[in-house]
Amino acid sequence: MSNNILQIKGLQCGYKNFSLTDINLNVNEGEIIGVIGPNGSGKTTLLKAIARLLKPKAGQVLFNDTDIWHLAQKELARKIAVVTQNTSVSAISVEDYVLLGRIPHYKKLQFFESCHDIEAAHKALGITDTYKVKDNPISEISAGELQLASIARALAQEPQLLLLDEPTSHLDIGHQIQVLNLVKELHRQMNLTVIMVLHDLNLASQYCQRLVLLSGGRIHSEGSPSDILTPQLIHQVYKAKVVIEDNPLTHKPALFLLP
Amino acid sequence: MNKKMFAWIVWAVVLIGIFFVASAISLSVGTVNFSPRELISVITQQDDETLHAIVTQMRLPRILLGLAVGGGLSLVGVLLQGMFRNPLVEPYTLGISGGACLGVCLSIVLRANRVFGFLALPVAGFLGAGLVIWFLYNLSIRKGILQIKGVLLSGVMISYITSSLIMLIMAVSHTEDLHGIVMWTMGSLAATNWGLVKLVFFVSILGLILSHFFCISLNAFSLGEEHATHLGINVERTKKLIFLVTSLLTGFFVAIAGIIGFVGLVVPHFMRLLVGQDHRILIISSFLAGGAFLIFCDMCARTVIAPLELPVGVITGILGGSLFLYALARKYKEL
Repeated sequence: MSNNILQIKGLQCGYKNFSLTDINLNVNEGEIIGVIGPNGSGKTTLLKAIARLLKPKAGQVLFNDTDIWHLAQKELARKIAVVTQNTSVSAISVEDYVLLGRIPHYKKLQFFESCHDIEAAHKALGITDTYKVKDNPISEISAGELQLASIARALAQEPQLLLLDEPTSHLDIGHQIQVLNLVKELHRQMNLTVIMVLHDLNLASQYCQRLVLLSGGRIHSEGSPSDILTPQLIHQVYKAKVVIEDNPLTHKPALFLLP
Repeated sequence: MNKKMFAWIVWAVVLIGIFFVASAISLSVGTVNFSPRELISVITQQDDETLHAIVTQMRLPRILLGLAVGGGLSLVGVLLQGMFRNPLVEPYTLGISGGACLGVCLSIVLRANRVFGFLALPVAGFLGAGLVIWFLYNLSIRKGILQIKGVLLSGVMISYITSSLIMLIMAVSHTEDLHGIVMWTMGSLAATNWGLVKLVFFVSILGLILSHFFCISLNAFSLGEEHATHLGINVERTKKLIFLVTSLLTGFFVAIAGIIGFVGLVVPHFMRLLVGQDHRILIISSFLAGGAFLIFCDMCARTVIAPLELPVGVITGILGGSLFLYALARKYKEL
């Protein structure tokens, strides 16, 4: 047994015109990993492969040493929760929305949520600071609140691994910080393992312990933020010129774009 | 007690009450009218055999058929709208009714009733529906995945093809056949046979029980197929099962009662406005409300120009359509 919660071995997976190639990655329990890379580099595809939406053409994804394709769908949903950008919004209340996260825990023939389900949902609403809007229709809350509610729904699944696809897009800086502080807090309190796709390299630098830089469907490089966020690498992969300084407070690399 | 369970019980009790009221009115009204007290005495005491027969042999089967077909069509509407996440889908959108109709037309034109008797129309209808279901399923399945958009588009196209074929048959058929076809297409709860009524009733209740297994999955579907997968739902299996259950039910109802429009579209919508989006409550309440609604419409159809009887589709269309427009207008006012 390793303490790797997730192991990706020689993964090849994707669509007709695009494929991830030869992906190898080990994720330790309780790690926050940022997946970065240019548009079309395969970040979301990688998350989909981990969440079992795409079947690998070669290689495998192991969760606690078990191939995810050998687990029952429901069992997987109790271990891995996913928050994506395109949540389709219907007219249910925030509380009902979060309660949907309890579905993987329903027993056979269970028709209504149990007291424990409601407790878990309320706990998730509490942690994400969305308890106050729990009776509002999901279609009428702000984008920031929606993102928090989506994370609450994922937490209601009581997962060991949380996958976030661009959790901060469309959010103002206040909500960006709120969402990522929440992720950090979850990591601290529950030892939750998080893999998130981020576009904002400064946020990735501040909040992730390890970064995986994708380019053209391959892992270009991986390592700590200060290893990855160098002007040379950024220019190589993103074709953008940047200056990188040391953030005086956090001592993490901070990027400045050069026009 | 759990909030949802409470809502389920309240709505079930209220709607069962409404169903019983609608049934009692429908049993009392017609060529012979009864007061509530007379109705009870006619049913329980059987003094007057004719009156007893009117209630139990003529009106009661219509009520059972009304509950089975009205409830069943609404149920199918809820399941399909939930699966397609499209509010415009109804039991007849997928062309299954067209197939049934084509089967019935052929059966009438070919005089199949001379050989098969009263079973000729329902069996031909069900065969027609079954053929469309088989065709649709094979058209829309690609690598084991049921393409939701494909089903919808193919279904609508099949509808057009069958209705053209029906027009072709009508154009070349005799006048008396034409009348039979037209009357059948308009739909009716006039029960031909007690055995058939019992069968439809049984199938409809079975459908109601089966659809409760889909409630949780449909709630997850409201977030999209991908999210439903993340929540541990076996999306492909659920879609295939829902497709099969709904299309078989539709084929069955159309074969027995003809094409009764609007129930399967309007009732689910109305119930969504009343009870919310949760399929656990939506399914039972749509079934009961659909049954009560069709029984009420059937009563109107029997009585507005008595002794003549209107096709029930006329009433469901006018009543259902206007109620729907009213609900829509109110919804947009709120926005």
